[in-house]
Amino acid sequence: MNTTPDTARDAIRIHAAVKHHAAGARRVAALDGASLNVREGTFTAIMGPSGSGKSTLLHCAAGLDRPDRGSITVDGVDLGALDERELTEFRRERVGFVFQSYNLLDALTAAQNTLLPARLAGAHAGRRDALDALDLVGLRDRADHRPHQLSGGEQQRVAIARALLARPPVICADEPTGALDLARGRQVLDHLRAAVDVHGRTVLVVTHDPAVAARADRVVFMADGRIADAFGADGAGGLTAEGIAVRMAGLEAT
Amino acid sequence: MIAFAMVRHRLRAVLGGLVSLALAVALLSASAIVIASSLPTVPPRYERADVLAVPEAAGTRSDGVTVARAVWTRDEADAMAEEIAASDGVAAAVAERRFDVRVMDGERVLGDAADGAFDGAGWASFGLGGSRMLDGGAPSGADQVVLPASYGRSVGDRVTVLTAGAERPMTVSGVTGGEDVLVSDAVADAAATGVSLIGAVSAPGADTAAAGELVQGVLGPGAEVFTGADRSAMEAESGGSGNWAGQQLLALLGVLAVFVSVFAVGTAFAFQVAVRRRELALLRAVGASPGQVRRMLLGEAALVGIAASLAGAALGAPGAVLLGEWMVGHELLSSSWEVRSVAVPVAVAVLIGVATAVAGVLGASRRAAAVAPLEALRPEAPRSETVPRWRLWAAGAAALAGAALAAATTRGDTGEAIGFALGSSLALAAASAVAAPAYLPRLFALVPGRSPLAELLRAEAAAGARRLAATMLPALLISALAVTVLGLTDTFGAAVDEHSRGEIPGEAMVMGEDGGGLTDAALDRTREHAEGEVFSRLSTGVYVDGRWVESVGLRRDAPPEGTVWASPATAARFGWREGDTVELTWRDGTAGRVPVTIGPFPPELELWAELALSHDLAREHDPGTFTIAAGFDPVDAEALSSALADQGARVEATAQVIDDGIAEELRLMRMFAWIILALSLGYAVVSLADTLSLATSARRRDIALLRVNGVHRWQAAALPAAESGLAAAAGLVLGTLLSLPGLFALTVGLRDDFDPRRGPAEVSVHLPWAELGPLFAACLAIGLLAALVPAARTLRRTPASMAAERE
Repeated sequence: MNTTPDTARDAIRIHAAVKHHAAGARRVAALDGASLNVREGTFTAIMGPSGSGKSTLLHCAAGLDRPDRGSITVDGVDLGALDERELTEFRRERVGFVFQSYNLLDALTAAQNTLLPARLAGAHAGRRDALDALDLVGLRDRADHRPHQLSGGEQQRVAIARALLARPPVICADEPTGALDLARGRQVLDHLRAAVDVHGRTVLVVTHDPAVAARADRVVFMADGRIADAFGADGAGGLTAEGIAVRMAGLEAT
Repeated sequence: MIAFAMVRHRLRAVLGGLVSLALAVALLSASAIVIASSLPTVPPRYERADVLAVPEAAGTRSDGVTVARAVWTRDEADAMAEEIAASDGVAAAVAERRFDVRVMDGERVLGDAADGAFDGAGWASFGLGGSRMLDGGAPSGADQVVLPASYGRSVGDRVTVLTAGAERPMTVSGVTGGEDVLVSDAVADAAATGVSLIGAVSAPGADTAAAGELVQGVLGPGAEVFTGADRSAMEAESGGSGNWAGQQLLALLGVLAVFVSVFAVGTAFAFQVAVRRRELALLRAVGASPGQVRRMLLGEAALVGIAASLAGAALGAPGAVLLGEWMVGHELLSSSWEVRSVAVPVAVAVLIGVATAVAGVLGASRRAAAVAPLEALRPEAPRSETVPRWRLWAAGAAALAGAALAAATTRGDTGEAIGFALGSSLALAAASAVAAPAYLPRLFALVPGRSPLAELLRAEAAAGARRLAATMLPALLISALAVTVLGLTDTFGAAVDEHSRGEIPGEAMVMGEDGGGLTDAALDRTREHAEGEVFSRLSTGVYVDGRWVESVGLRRDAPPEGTVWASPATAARFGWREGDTVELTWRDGTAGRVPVTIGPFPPELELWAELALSHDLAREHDPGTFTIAAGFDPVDAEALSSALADQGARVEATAQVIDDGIAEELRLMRMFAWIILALSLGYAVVSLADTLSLATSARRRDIALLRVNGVHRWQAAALPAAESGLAAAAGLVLGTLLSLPGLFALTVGLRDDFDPRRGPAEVSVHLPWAELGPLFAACLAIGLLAALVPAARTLRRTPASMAAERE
């Protein structure tokens, strides 16, 4: 894995990514030359209508999927140069995930789920690390509960604890609050925000919800597989949910 | 850690695989214990002999299995035994004389006929055996005999000792715990054909291996010498425990057990992988490499394998006792059988169980490792069920193999043909099982009806080809096995029944009361009461250039006295021509020169011998062997019966003897068939219950959706039941159809297997519908129940709670 100094300030660089999906006999372009740079230590929200390619972009950035063309560099690593095993190792060392639902293995307790990537990597992570990570999301007392004994919001927070434990530079989240009520959604967002502000991580979130995007430093709009618009000063914040909703409605109207 | 948590969490899901594997290992260890406990050991009659020596093998008898050995002349053997006995480190050496014997108390045969151990020997042989003298002592003179205690006589009782050529009134001089009838060495020398074994007892403290080398040195390279545990090789040759049917049954059980465990575990885990795709994808997403996923599944399989194998092993030991007793009861094992060896066979069974669990999961683990991490993000990833190309190739190859085996069935002899026909059916069934995901949805698309349920049935079939295939497999396997095996039995039985008559000449037969043969006196009395000459066979042999030639001594059809009659094949083998005078060695080791005539053998001889001679010539050189049986047309059967009583022989109607023989053979075949079927049915229950309960829990959301949308409870249950019932019916029909090529091929193959004087036999396929019907009904019922039970369990809940449930 090569680390080059000139990319050091960008945690994620996506250049002209193209990705086709086969839908029956038709080929659908999910990404059609999307380019995006994400600065280190920022919170970026990706928005856009269904089918605009935002999830595909996130998956490619996280090393869960590969673009057909174009290059992706995350934390200085060119993902195109990695084979399947290296890509897996890249994921478990440098990226943390929070999905909309189904984040945890039913067979394992919250603590075991939190430790899973570290254990898979063969790291010397123990129960104390798991408890510390769960403490960060306020779930220390639920460590020995199994997923079906936890609420949806608690499950999301366990997933965040898991994403934090391995101290990955980048955390990717796909609709992390999509299945939660307002209060629980806010809690989850607080923890993601803290990952950026307190721990200096880079967070990339896909969302439909302007209220989620309002907590970001930067909002990126996608349409037809490309970046259509982006606003918000890096690190500045000051976005409002209303402003984002208006701007999004304007984009979808065109 | 992960594998352990997964197995614990998914215990219910792996339960089916666990139970079938445990049962398979129980079966395997039970058969292994029985097999290991019936392995040959040193026969009791040679227990004290440290060295056993026999002449080298010269060929096989007419059964194709029993070894025929070369022969030593008496003088030769005695001289060698004397030389061995005189050597250092040897306490005694015996050139053994053995002969067929029957001990009579008036008109009653003494002794237990169960194991057919009617062996006479000289007193010297007593020193080789391990049995004790219970009462009395050695026979002195020609009119004393030592009997086994099982004969129920005491010292001083009078008995009649029958050998092939003589009848001797004798007094019991001793009773032993052994099995041999022992007479004085002089009497034994007159009664025996030759010396077939030299046994030596080494001096106390002497090295047995050295004694073995010494014996080999004296006897030269023409002898085989056994010491230590190798002496058990003599058990097979002395005809102790060689129960062919029993061995076949045990081997069959073992093979079936391995087959079942590979399939049960393989299908259980293959299905697991399908159901757990999301979970595996999540593991991949959070950083498990493909290798780690593969190893995790293999670890799970090993855990399940170990747990199931240990449970199975615990069941195996009591199972072995039950199995062994059952087999003894059906005369499939020697009545002296007992559990002798447990640890090693159980360990082997456990190892095989774990190995098959891991082997069965290999394919599934490879598929699991190929799961893409992104699949974790799709709630119900609707995987496109395309049929991989390898399936079609494999199906094609199996179908070709099936066709080739069917073709081979028409050509092989009876034994081979039955094996080929079975193989053909199984290969065709395997082909249709492998290809099932390709054609089953198309078959289901033919289901008529415009009701929404029919529509749903067709759509679900199209989307779940692998589930359909897994549901059909047990029914397919059972019907293919049942139709083939029972069909083979009935077809073969009917053919034999119709065409075997007349193979034994004469309306009546004389045979030994105890299953043994006839003395010459019995044969002579039969001739006096017969119309025309008696058809009798004295099974013997001669050696040409040191090679065994299976021979038969005849009364009827005998060649002129002092000549031998060779079949054209035998003549060709040795380059003989009509009228040649050939050199040969007789069964007693003496050399001879006889003129030979050449001509084809009648069918009733063809199976039995390569060379025929007159009864008297055969008897002259083989005095120790009983005549097998005699077929004849009786003049006065009543009178003959009473005349034969003191020879331990009786008269039977030939037709009856043939019927009994066929009935016995069919009884064995049927018993085998039902054992296979019972095991397969058990496998079907476990495997179907497992598949369908997993399938139902995987489709719980769909069922909930149906209920939310207004489908009645019974309709939601009818859907899986209809699917499973249809799949089972399809399997039954397919299995039946695919068995027919093998069966028809068998009828062609059997055509030439009967008396050629009457032209090709008309053989037709017979199917026992009285047995197949209930079996098929049971299969259908199992299929329906296996679908209904989990569906009913799921449907007890309200639609809302099902729909709301997380995965």
